[in-house]
Amino acid sequence: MARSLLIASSLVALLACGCSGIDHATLDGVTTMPDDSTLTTGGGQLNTGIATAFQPRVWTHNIWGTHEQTDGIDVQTSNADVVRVAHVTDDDKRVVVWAVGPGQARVSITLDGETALSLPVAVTDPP
Amino acid sequence: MATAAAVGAMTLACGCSSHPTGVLGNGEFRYLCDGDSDTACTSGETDTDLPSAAIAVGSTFQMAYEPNSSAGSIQGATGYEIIAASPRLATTSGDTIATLREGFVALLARHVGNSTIDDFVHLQFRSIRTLIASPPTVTLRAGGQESIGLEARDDLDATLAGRLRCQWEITEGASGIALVGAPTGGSASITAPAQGGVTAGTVHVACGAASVDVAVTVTGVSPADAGSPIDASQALDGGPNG
Repeated sequence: MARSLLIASSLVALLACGCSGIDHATLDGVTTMPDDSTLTTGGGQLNTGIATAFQPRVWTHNIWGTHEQTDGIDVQTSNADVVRVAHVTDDDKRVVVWAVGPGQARVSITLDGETALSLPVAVTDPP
Repeated sequence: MATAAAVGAMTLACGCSSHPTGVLGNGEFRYLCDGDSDTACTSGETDTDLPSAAIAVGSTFQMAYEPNSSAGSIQGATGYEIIAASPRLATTSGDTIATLREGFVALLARHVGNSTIDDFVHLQFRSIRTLIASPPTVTLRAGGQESIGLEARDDLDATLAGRLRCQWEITEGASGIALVGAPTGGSASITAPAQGGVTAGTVHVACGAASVDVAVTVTGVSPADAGSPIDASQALDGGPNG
């Protein structure tokens, strides 16, 4: 009885301590851009007019380990005048991001509405 | 094996590819040719591969998109619209794209119903540095008509694609040389009336910041028509008293 109570209380403690949640997110398969534009998990620098596609991937962790999530992933932009985002047709897990005009925006990957990764993206006109 | 090698060699040699042109591999973008002057198109063809050359700033062109899943013709694919990634570089109206400034621009095939993107491709726009007229000088008979074509080149002297938007005018000899119609593209025809009385002139054409002058010589103009102090009829008749 005491042992069961100990295990139960340990589980409660693990859950309560924030030991589950989003672990990390990545941009998988970022397509090649024709100029010096870049987009990584650290952020992006895009020239106006450039587009790129990638598959957003999110992992969560809990007491059993780290697991990749396949549903509930979305990508959003903070400023559609600078960067736009759209999903690829037909259940394709990729998204397309394109640079509309100069400025700053944040591109966020979310899991069930919770931000997993937020990238600062700067857009400048081509030289 | 020899056949496969030959096909591979031909593919490499001609730059042909059976793979979709879109970055995502979901479909093929085609460059449409409708008969207007465009160095990306050869005479008679209705569409072609996307040009490897850059497209002239200030020009227009047409594109179509066919998703891999479509069984329709290239121009028959419906449900998609082509949009430019940035209105600062290009504007779109139907399948026509107008180029506005230098740079690479993504053209995206967007599904009309749900605004998802099926595929996209990048094209490069470059400013026109020089215009090459063909022929560089024109000789036509009085009463005749000749065509002038233009080729736009960038600062690397590379030929640019696109349907040029140009202003044509006769800057010299306008009384005897005329443009046929009101040309605004990359080619024009000029004519010299039989009784125009002008033996030389100049056609000036400007496409964006670049321009070129084409010298025109009119032959077969009688001396009287050409403004000679000698009356042609008198000369032919042997003189005023002759």
